[in-house]
Amino acid sequence: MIIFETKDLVKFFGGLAAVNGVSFQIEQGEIFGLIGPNGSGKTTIFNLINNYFPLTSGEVLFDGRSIKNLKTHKICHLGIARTFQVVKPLARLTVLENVTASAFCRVNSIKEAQKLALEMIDFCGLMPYKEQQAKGLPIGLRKRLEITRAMATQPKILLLDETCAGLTPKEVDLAIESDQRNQSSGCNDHRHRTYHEGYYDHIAAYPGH
Amino acid sequence: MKSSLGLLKALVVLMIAGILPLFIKQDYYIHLLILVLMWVIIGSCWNLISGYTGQVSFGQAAFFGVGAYTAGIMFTKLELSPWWGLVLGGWTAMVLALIIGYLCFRLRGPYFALATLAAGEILRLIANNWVDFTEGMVGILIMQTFSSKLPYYYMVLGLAACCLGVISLVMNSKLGYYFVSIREDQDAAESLGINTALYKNLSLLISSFFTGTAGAFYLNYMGFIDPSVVFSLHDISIQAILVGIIGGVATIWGPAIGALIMVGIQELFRTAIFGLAPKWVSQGHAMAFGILVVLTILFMSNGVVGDWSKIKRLFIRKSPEAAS
Repeated sequence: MIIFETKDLVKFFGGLAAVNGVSFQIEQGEIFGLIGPNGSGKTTIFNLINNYFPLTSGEVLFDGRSIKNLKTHKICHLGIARTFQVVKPLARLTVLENVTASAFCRVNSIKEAQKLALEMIDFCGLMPYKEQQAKGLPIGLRKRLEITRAMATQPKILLLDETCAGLTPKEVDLAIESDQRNQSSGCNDHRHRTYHEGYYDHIAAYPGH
Repeated sequence: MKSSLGLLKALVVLMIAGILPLFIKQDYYIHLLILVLMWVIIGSCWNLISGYTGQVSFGQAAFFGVGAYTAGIMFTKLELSPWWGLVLGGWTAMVLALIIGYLCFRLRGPYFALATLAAGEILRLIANNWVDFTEGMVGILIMQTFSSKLPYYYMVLGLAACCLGVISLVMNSKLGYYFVSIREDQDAAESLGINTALYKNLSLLISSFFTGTAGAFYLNYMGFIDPSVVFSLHDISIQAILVGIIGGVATIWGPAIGALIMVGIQELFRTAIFGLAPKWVSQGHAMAFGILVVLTILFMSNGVVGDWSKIKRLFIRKSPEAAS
């Protein structure tokens, strides 16, 4: 079953075509990779899906309905979570507080949110750091915090934006290990190493212009 | 565990505040305590929207003044008891908050700070010039209900307790997490499913409600308001910020401690250090605040409460091993 689909995404910044006619489909349960050189517009596609930028033209379908005009937070509530390539932790909060804040997406009481957050932290192996401030974590853990936080919103699709970029090989292995336990995710990576190892089910090579 | 300890602390403070008038008989000191508690409310409200939610307000005077004038105008125009203002002042302040919030919170950047700054000044000018409605610069004079200060003291103590109680409840719930997330990173907050515009508005509504109620209380207590007092930029709006910064931004007890310090220093200077210093010293309170804020920002940027451990270390000298 196709859960997610983009049709002819186009984004112009002024006269510059950042994304020009990108279409792809993601099946339920599939790990889908999007690769391309620097500056080819991978992150921009994510920003379009999330409606950080309005689309110039094109269509984004999720569960059969168009989500292109929905607000970013509504899209998250529908079940599309994302991470940021340039990590955006809630810097002065602890790891637990970071994840709890995002767990409130699905639950209302603080007890349930913390329980869900702890499950996710445990799942992603951040337990030893849960009381640490996010700004004090090294980059590999901050990237993992991004994933943990995105997963705490209990998404149907997880958009991972360069979760392995700038990490040491050891950290990459750890990151992949935590990714592989997920059900359905769209990934974006310009490191070919991960795809050589057969991580993705499908890959869209995206040459840019 | 942690929250029950906090509750205990709060109850102890409330009890001490409750029996304080048994030991302090002079009206003058009760008056100072009333002012302190009023500033606890205003400072805590500023702290909610600016300290926790990260939307810096330069115009708490707008909400304060609207609350005060609601009470005053109901008295002059409708001949209602000004005590009705205590019930309605918060709500009219919230209407103002809705307008400002609706216009500003869809935007990012300094627009909210500028709009609140402008709102306070605009309302002051309106109140000055719309003489038919607000009595203009003459101000509104009412008869105080009680000659003793004690009823006012307990009333404002109750208000302050309510205000702090609501804020700490809010901060320990989903709302609180959302407010702080918005302060830390709006993009991240949006991607986590937080409707940032909505939650910024909610924060401002709570903040304006208690500020407006404090304004209505001010009229009832002082018996007189005029535009330059209740819409004052430096005496209300800026002072609310100073109370927050000196006490400790984004801490529950920070504004309370800040209020104590500010009112203390203000009185110290106003009375020229109880008449011991030459008269010109009484002009210096604004400068003293300035110096205090500079020192606070330089040496303990989290305020007295936020950097309490630093202050303790300063006074209790331990051997380096024990300190670490």
